[in-house]
Amino acid sequence: MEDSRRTVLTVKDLQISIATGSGELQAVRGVSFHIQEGEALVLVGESGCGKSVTAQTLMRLNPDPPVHIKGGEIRLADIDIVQADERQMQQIRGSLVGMIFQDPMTSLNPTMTVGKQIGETLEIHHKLKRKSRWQKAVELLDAVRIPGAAGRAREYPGAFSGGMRQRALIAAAIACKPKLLIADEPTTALDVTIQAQIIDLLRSIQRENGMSILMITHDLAVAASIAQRIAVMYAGRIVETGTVQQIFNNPQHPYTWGLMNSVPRPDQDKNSELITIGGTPPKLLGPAPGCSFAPRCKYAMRICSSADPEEFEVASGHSCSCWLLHPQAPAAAREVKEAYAIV
Amino acid sequence: MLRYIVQRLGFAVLTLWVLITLTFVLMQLLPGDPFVGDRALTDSVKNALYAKYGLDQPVYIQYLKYLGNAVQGDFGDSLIYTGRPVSTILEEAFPFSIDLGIRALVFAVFAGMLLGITAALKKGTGWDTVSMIIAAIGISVPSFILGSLLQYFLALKLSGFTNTQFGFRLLPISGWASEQHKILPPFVLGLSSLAIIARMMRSSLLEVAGQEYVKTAKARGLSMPLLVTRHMLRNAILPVLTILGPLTASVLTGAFVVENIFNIPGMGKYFVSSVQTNDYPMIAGTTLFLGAFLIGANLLVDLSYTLVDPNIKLYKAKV
Repeated sequence: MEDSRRTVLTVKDLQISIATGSGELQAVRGVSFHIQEGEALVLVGESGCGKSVTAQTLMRLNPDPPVHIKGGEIRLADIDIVQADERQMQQIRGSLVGMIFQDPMTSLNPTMTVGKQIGETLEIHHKLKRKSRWQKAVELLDAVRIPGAAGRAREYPGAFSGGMRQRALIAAAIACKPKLLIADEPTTALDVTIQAQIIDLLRSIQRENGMSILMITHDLAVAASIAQRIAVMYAGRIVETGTVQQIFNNPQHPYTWGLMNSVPRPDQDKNSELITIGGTPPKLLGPAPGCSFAPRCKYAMRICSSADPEEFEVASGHSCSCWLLHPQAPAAAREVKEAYAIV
Repeated sequence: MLRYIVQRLGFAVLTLWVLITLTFVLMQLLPGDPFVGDRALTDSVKNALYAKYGLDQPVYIQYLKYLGNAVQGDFGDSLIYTGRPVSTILEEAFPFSIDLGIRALVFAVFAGMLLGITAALKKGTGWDTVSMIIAAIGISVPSFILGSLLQYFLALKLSGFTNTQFGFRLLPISGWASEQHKILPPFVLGLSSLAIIARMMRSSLLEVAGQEYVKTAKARGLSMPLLVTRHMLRNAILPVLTILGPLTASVLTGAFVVENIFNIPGMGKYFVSSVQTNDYPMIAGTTLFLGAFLIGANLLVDLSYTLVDPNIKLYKAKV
């Protein structure tokens, strides 16, 4: 590692399958990434690419069966998550890792006061007494910028708006100052102005506490606003990973190009059609050999549908799994790449 | 809160009025009269009896008198149990019925919830299957069959066996004297309610278990027992609470059958026989009494919502 900071999370060749009525769904097929102290990594990809399953597996939140870790390794601050038993996981959840979810409207218990739900994390892990718990919960609500925190803590979630609920959930997730905060599409259910506030809040929490963040999103704009590094996921695999600058200025994978092109631009002609990536993601019940993106890829070569692409290092910290990067790839393909790199 | 209760009590009075009026109409429509019996009475005796009980007066006068009596809670004497006021008979019989009913309901609620909760938590296992089979039996086997079977196998055969072998009777066949008498009847009476509660509890708990806030709480490091007691039960219990009102009613009416099987001197006997014998004051008394009781039970259930779910307000908050 070129970085002197400590690594908080290492995921190596993670494979997750989901048992369904029609067979074994290979949701995650060999995903590797790592997150360093104080770093924000964003997993980007479309629905069903396995990013949420990956995130929830890091905390072992999915019931097994149906969701089963088939192979690979997850190391969180020297703890082997795959091998940990349920009691160890309970100690890890909330204290070492905090998590916030997609839908703040349904993520708070409607029959428990907000303050109590925030205090719960402290009760479980720090064994704080009721009074100091409450005090801390109010402080946390204040820290996530909820006005009138003392009064608000006594209210039930029904009295909170969506944005406020997500703030309260963030407060609960960071109560024990976890090393890693996993945010699974935290802004998807919120409207755009609230989205910006939540991202802003997450960034300042990360800065103040030196917390690492793993964010899951399908929204490139959200990814760009918080990430130091980005990993692009497609059909259960990471196809490209690099720093924000590397991914946005010099994207290498045709799927990443597609994602970039699909982002609507303010200077675009209002009447022009939105750009999409043609076709649909592959079914993961029995994935075909080769690159999963090949059937949708404009630049696919013969090898793409027969052999899994190797991982090529584009620059330090920037790698991409695509046959176009192979030294023997046709010159035409390299020209396409270069044309793209100018963006 | 107080305003809500007063409002509900107002509606309760209205409901009771509709109830006693309907009862009156139905009694008038019933063929025959209380004095059609085994012995043929001469016309003069009959007329004297009609006059004594006011049955010779026009219907609207009878109705008004009946209404007046009902308001005062005095239904007069029974026409069949001559010389015994209806209120006295009810006073004597009610304690047996309420004792049986409460035991049955408590059994149904606690055992039913326990069964439903364990079935939900062990979903898909043998325990779940067994629980749901018990529930299916409870719903589909009528109490008079279950009661008779248990009487035969447990109270007669098994108790007879323990009597000859060990010198004590395990369970008595009928009556309502000792605590031993009070085991089988509440069980038989409560089983169908237990089944309904168990099934409801199971499906409700399973639904809550899939909620996002349970996953979020799990991500805070809560253990399964804490997740269940803190986050799931309270939210899952509302639908169960809702059916407690109707269940109370079904337990009460079911009690008449069970009292009959186990020979318990409760209200059931009077309720059924009074209709058969056209004992007008008795019909009115029992109907009104049970009606008031049920309305009260439903009110209690509605009030208990506020204890379980703080988001339910029974009145409009003052803005």
